[in-house]
Amino acid sequence: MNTQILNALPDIPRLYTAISEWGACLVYLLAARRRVPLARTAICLVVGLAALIGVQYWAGTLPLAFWLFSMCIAVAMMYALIVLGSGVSSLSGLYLVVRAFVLAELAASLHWQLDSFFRSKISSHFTLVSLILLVFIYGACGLAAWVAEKRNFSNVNFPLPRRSVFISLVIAVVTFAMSNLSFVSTNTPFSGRVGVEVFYIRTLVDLCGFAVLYAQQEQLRQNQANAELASIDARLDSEHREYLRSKENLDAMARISHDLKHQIAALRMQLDPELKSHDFEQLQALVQQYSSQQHTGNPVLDVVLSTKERICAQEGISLSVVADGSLLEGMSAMDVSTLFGNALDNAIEALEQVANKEERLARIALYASDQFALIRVENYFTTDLSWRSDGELKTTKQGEGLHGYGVKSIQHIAHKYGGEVSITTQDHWFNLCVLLPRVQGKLSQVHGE
Amino acid sequence: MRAIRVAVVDDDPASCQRIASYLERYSLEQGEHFETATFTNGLEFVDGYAPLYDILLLDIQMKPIDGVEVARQVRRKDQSVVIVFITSAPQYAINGYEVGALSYLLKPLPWFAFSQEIKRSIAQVRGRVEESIIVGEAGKSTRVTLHDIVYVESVRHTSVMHTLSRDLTLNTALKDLQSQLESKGFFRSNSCYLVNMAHVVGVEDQESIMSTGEHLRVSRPRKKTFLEALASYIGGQE
Repeated sequence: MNTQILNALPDIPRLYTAISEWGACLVYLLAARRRVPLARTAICLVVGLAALIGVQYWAGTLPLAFWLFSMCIAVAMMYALIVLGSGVSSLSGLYLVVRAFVLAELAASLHWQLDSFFRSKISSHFTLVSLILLVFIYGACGLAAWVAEKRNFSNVNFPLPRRSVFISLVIAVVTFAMSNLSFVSTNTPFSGRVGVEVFYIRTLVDLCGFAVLYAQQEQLRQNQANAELASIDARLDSEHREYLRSKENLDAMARISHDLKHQIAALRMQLDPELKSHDFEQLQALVQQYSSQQHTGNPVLDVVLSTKERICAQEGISLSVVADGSLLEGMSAMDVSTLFGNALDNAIEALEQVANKEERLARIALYASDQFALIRVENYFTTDLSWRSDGELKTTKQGEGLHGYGVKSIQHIAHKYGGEVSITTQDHWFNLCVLLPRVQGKLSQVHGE
Repeated sequence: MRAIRVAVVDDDPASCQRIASYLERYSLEQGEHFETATFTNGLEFVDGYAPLYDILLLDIQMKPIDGVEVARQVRRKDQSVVIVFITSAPQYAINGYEVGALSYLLKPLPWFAFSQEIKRSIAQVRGRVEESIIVGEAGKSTRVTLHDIVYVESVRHTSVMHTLSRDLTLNTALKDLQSQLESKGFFRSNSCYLVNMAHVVGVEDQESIMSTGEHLRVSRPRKKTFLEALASYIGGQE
């Protein structure tokens, strides 16, 4: 493949290529969290080494035109080794294999560059030193990569965003193309013309590629950490608001009890029995309004609902609550209050935009359907409407603006319990459904995903 | 479209009258036809109950038996009637899930809330029409009710339709069935399964549990959209 290069040097032996590819896979298998038994990983490694060597020797028998094809086969083998050996998802596997591939290219290239240098300087045959150099360079590259990547991959939450995987893939392809350009043709502005120089270019480009991939992963990790922080901040903030509202409600209660005292005093003075009974009825209605406490079977949900109900009463929102709180068994108090608090805040916020108070309607339902617990929060809305050509009202998805962060937080909690959120709008109604699978009649947090 | 049969049960005749007049107004505005029957005694209503109605509008605070009790007794005879509670105190309706009443109306009854609730109840009644498809099995056509289909499985170039009563081997590709059934509560959860979400009773790890007790694998990349579709499907039912 290097026949076009002036004072051509032999390129990397196929056995070395296979070993460096295998070694790079090993590094990423060690760095990523393993989800399969150790024995399976070990078997995959043994079979993988044999397969990679096999592929390299088989590729050696093919004409030069098939070189790219044989590289693809080798990468596919590495991919299989990583996915089968670690049990990560196919997408995460792709994310890992492009890194392993660039690392393999880098280590092989660096070693061969040094090997060629010393061999031409000292003698043409010093196989023992050559072997030591091989072990030393591959070992050092592998160890350095492992140390650098371990921190990066031990905490990554797989699955990754599709976009990141795609970018990694592009970086790897560009790195590979640039580093090998000189081997395909010396007649491009980016090709080296002298053998040693060509090796150096390849090593440098591979190093750059690896560094870019590393930086990308580091960035992703940072983003994830920031997102987590933001979510914690938001929770604390929402709790604080909750507290302020409860306090406001307590003040309101004090005011009402003061009013009641006056009404009772006035009632005592009332002599006309008919008027008296009318006043009593009014009083009873008033008391009922303020004593309406929810008893869903979940004390945390009761508090959230009672608080939000008062806000609804203040805003003229008519709220219908049908809830079997016992279904929330297994969900932490924090998650219950965040989930329902956010969902109701969203609904209340949207309803405050509805001008006609008669139309301020909201419904909450928490019920069981087979082995699922379902939370449905619905509200009427009038904003974000556009007219269709046939004169009918068309609803546009009421999205990020109104239900932005709240929905993210609800999704986060749903995922935590292995569930999912669906949002639909129909006929001026915004419907948020949270589906939570129940295992043996309880909710439970899922790990790993 | 046939008339919607509504029963109104409220021990206050004035309240019954109001609801009946609201139904008339709805009928005028929306062009919907109702056959309305009103009852002022819950006990008599329950004693003579036959599953004739589509929608039940039930007052909760009634004597001699309250609306929740009426609903419970009705449910023993009629699983499908849509029950809407009307109450002046919301705390009495919070357990409505026991009788499949997932929302209620507050007294004094405002027109707008009433009309929205009726609209939804009608949609629910109309949504229950039994749909079916015609499939070709061994050279002849067979009609299958959609609700009877548990799932369809792709086996080489044919599909096997697993229904509640038997398995049908069809010459149709799963892909074609998918495009036909996707809008009707079916979901392609795996390269070889098209499941009826009405029969999905649970999800465990990577598997969906069917009403027949079968566990079907959900492919990893489809799990999220599957759960979303399921949330929307189950949440859309009452």
